[in-house]
Amino acid sequence: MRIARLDLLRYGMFTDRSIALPHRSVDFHMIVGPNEAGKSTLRSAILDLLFGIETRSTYNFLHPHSEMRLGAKIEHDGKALEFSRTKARTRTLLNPSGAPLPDNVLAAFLGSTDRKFFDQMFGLDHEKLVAGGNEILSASNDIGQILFQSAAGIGSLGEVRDALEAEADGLWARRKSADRLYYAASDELAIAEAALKQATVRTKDWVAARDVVARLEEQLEDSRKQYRGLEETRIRLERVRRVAPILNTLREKERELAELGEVTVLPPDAEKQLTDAEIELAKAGQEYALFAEQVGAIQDQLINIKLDEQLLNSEADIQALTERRQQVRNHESDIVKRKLEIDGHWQNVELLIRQLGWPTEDEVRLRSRLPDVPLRAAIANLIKGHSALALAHATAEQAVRDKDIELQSIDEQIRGLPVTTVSASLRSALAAARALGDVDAMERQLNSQLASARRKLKVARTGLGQWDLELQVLQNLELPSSQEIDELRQRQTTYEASATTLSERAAELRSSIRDQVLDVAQYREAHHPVTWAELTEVRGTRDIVWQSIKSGATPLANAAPDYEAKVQAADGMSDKRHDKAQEVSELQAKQDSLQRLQQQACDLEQRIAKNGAEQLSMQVEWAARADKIGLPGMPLLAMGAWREARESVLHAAAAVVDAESALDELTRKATDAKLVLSAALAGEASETDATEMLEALIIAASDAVEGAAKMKVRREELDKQRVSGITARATLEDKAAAAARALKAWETSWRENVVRAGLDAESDIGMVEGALSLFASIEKALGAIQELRKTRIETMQRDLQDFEKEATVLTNLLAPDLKGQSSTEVESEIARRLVLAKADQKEWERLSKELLSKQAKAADALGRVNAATAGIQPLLTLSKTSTNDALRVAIARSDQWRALNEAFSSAKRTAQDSADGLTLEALDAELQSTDVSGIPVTLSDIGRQRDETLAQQNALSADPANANTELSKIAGQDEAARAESGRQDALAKMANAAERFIKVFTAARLLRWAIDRYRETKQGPMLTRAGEIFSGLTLGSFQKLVVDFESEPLALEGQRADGKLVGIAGMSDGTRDQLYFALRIAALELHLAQSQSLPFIADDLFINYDDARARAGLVALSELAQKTQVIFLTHHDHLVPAAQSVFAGNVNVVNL
Amino acid sequence: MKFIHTADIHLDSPLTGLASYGDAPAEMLRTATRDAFTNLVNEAIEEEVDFMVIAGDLYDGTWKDYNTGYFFCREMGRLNKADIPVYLLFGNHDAESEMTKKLSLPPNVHTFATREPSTFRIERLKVALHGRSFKEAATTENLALKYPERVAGCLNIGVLHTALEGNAQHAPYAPCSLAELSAKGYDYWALGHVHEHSILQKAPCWVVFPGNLQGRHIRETGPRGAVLVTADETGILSVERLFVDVLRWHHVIVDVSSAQTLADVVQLAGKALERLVSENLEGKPMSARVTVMGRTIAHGDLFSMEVHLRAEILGQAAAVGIHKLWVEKVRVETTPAADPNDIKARADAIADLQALLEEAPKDELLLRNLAEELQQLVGKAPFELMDAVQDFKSIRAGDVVQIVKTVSPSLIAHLVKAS
Repeated sequence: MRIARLDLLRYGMFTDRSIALPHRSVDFHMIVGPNEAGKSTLRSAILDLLFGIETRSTYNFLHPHSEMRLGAKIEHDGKALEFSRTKARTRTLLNPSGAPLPDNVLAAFLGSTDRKFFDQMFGLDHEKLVAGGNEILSASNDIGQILFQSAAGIGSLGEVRDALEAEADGLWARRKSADRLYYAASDELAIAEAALKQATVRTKDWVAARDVVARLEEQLEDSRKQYRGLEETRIRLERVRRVAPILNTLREKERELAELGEVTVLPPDAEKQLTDAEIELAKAGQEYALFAEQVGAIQDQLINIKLDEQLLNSEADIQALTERRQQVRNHESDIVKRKLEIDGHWQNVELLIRQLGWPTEDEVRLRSRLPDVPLRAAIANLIKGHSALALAHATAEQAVRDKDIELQSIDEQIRGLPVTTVSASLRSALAAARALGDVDAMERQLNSQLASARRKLKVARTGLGQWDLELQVLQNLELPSSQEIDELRQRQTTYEASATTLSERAAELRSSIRDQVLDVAQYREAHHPVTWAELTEVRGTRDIVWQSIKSGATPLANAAPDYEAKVQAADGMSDKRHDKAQEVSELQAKQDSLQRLQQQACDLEQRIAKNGAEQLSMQVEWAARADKIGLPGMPLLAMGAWREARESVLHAAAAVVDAESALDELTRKATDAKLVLSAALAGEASETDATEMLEALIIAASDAVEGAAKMKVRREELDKQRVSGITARATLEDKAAAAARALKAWETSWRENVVRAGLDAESDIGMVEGALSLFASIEKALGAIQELRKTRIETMQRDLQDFEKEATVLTNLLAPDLKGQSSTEVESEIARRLVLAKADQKEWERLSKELLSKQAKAADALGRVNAATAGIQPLLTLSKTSTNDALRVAIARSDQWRALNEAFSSAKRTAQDSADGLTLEALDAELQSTDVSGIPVTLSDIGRQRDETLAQQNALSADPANANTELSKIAGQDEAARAESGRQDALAKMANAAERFIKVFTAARLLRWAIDRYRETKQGPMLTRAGEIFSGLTLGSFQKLVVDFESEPLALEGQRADGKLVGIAGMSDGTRDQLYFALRIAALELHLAQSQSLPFIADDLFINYDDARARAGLVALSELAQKTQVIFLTHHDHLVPAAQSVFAGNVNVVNL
Repeated sequence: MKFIHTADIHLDSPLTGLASYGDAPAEMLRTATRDAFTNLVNEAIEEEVDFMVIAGDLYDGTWKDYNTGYFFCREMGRLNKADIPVYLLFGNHDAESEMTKKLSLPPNVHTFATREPSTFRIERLKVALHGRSFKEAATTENLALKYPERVAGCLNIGVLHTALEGNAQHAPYAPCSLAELSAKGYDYWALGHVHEHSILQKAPCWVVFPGNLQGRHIRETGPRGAVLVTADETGILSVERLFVDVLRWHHVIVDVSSAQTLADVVQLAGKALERLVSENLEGKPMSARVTVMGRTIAHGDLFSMEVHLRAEILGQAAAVGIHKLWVEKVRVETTPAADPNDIKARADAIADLQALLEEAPKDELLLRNLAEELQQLVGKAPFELMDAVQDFKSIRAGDVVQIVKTVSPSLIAHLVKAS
């Protein structure tokens, strides 16, 4: 896709600015403007144009968001689209006539590219360039990373990989460290396991502990039994020693009782009873005489008091009379005051009558003249209802006038409506066009399919390599069968395998021979064996001298020394040969072995030559065959893959044909529909443009049909409104007439009621309201007069009469002597007499009470005398005596018997208390059977035995306690369970760490592996192309880019013209930026080879470059511009001549 | 009459898979199986049941601590005091445990013999209980066949530890069929061994697995406990569940398809946990596994920030259910929003990388090296991790293809995000 024209309609600082970017063979456009001229705006505008204006766009400082608008004409594959873009949620794309375009209309031009990807892949600015250069440096020597980052336009690959590796390392690594999560959890596991081991009690431990406790408890029980036996004996002997004296006392008292004989037993307190009775008799007799005398004196005083019973009985009536006198005390003066009040009210009434204009009359006549309440209420109602009736009348008449105006307006609207109809042909054409569906989308889809098929065909063709033949030729090729090729390849593989095997074997043999030669030489050097030849040679030399001596050629004297030396040498050699016989043999064996190896090597060379000849012959045969087929130079090994590639090409070609025919069919249908629709629209006198897109025609036709329908509905609605308006007017007129009638009726009723109320018939509403108020005031004053008379004056007069009546009654009954005196004086005297009578009554009551008390005390004293006499009588009877003295003797005997008996019982009780539960008989028997005198010795013996047993027990009792403590430690505790829980906790942590480790470690490894593979596949083409660009950019300072295969990881280096290599770290910042630029451009070119082209936006790329370098940069971009549109934004005017020169004047320069 | 039927108590068996962290109610749950059993005994005493039946697997077979047995005796002592007899049958785990033979049980506990089926009669209630304990763990004969005939005039209860016919989740011990059980003419079969509660058959012959008393790992989710059976001499009247567990396991699956960022995912997970807590009317502590799934843009972030995600979700859990909610694990099972074809359509370096990674499962050398490196971890790990970490088995077998296939799309999503 390319942009043919960019319209900055309302965007940023631009208004209606259009920038033409016409197509050229080298599609390069230079947009020049000083800083702030809007270059950044332009770059943003292209993004917003293609992908929508951003929600919070900051380019609204001149045109508000709602008015922002961009436009363009874009081209792709011979098609063009003119559109504009607005800022909204949906339907932001419009056609030139302002009709909305489908949201996905750009998909055919942009493919699946999104905003982020476009900006990343097709946008490059100075900052990105510098950042990219820095990232190259930080990626250090990792070529894979550099290539990937440059191609993807991202710089975070290293960070991603480092983060993954760091996380994996924090989780687990071979070296144990408490910082690693897995090992930290593993330490927790070890602690928990130790705790578990510590807390676990095995069943056998418990059984052993229980057995120990049982055995020790048995021993302790035996010892306790023995102790108990000793204790029993000791207790028995001590008991005997204790009770012996008590038993003796018991027998003594028994004897004394027998001597006292028979005794009458009297109560223990008999003596006291007798003495007390005698004292009481004396005291009670004296009291009785005193109280009898006091009773006589009180009775004499009572006889002298006389009570007035009638006066006392009338006390309530006298009090009532006194209270009534208090009530009526002021009544007479009050009656005078109330009469004066009545006079006041009447004067007020006379005043009101005069206002009404009525004559002054007495009270009765005035009451009859006042209008009654119903009449006054009727007049008040008439006054209240008048305003409502008057308003209703006026409103009804106004409503009739309003309705007339409304009907007039409706008539005008109806007259003003246009008459519209739509032809049936337009309707049918519209239906037919709609039935085609979303033609644009289908067309885009088919276009996309076609483009895809073509790309696939293109890609498939690359598989054919140099044998890229015409389709027809490809189709008709007669290729050998795959079986035949397989056989040939099998043969070739066999030859190659044999050659390899034989060569390896030969190399091994050569190596063995070299080793053997060396071995022989070294052996010889080490052992100096004497061979037969050497010995023969030395002997030969000796024999020559001898022959010379024998023949006389040399005088003996002269030759002797030499001869002796030679003899010695030969003998020495012979001896040495004899001594080194084994080494000689060994050396011979080594030399034989060497010969064998050399022989084998010779054989092997012949086999290699033979195999080579056969292979060559086969290759020649295949080359001839390939020529014949029409594939000269086709290697046999490539034939299989080529066959498949040919199949793919044929397949892809068929797909292209299919896609083209489908697209043609669709285009034909769409064109037909467009023609029919366009004709129908023309028939409707609609303004149509034959060049409109089908979608726009459909929208226009829809508008026409819908417009006509809307007009019809509007007219029908207005007609309805007119009919209902006329009906409503008649109803309103009826209402107005009714209101007028109601007002008339009111006026008649008004006159009648006013006259009845004694007022002038022509009085208006205000006057009548005033009269009604005066009526109310008069009525209120008359009411007050009547109230005073009835409730106040008359009541007080009745009270005074009642008081007089009651005073008379009491005078007659209680004080006839007072008759003739005033009621007030009578009441006062009777009250005084009542007070005196009540004082007498009180004294009489006091004396009566005292009399009763003295009488009771006298009776009590007499009772006590009788009781004391009766108290002594039972003792006299029991002791069979008749006098108090005889009784005293009997009492003394009884007391002596009691003392003896008590002493006996006490001794018996003491014996029983000390008997440990034994009976007296048993104690006696025990005493009889024991030698009391021997007890101390026996006790001493038992004490010693007991101490021994006790010591034994003490010694034993500690053991079971300890054993029990041990056993009781096993009491169902949960420490082991808790430790196991902790262990599981640690295991869970280890599992979590391990799971995460597997993920991140694998991810890190995969990333390394993939980046390595990426390098392998891309470094060839990408580095070659990037090297060319880099060389240009650096003005030949660097010749190409090379890989240092010796370093690990592989490093990227630039090669100078003199062959010198420079690593990335050794490059200047500027050179690194150029390297990044070269890599980006190379990656983009590779990308464009397999996908849709889009405009490349270069924003002020060469700001730090000198002219020569900037020119080199433009050259690099000119090559890119042959593949896709390049829009170069710059604020450097001086780049314009450079560009003109690079592009030979054929460059579009736009000044902002 | 009322009785409790329980089984598979596994006293002092630990809860597995729970890694403690700051707010996790760890200490509270260290003795979960014990606490559940104590709850059951409390229920028995409060409900005044007439007797209790334990259908096997009181202990964990390999558990050695005698204190566990002692604890059991102590709880039985409480039932003894309340005059509640217990009929105890030993299962495969008990047969394996060395405690079983040595423990002196209180007089109210009656154990079924191992040599042949035995019958206990409760004359007062007219109940006959038939059962046979496991002598050894691997008992694969059909024990039910030799159970005695029903006792006329009694409520007949068969007590049996069995996997029934082929329960795949459990070892196939003492196999038998429902038809064979029905044929005995008993009123109620009190079964044990299968940890899931189920009523396989109702009147006239009830066949019931009460389920285990306390869920111990994520495969044992939902409420756990025993059953309370009401009956008279004519048969069973009702079977109700008694939930006595002290911690309940839940698997919370959160669809995060709508999430754009990790924060969105955390918020969705938080809401799901809040819902879980609000539905937990009993207020019991809970352990939840949170699995996030769905096709989401956040997939790349979730992969790279899984640890952060876990921390955030733990925070959410603490906020909605402090001291009551334990997050067992956070599993990320999302898929990338961009499908491989979308990535391929970019035709850029990322697309190239994706194509390369698709080939990774075929690269023998890569797989061998990766397997060898991962085996360093697996080789030294405790045996128990083999079950806990899914990938360990395949790594041990030298097979890492699946791991590579799973990780590759996540890696790509992560790189797309990073770019």
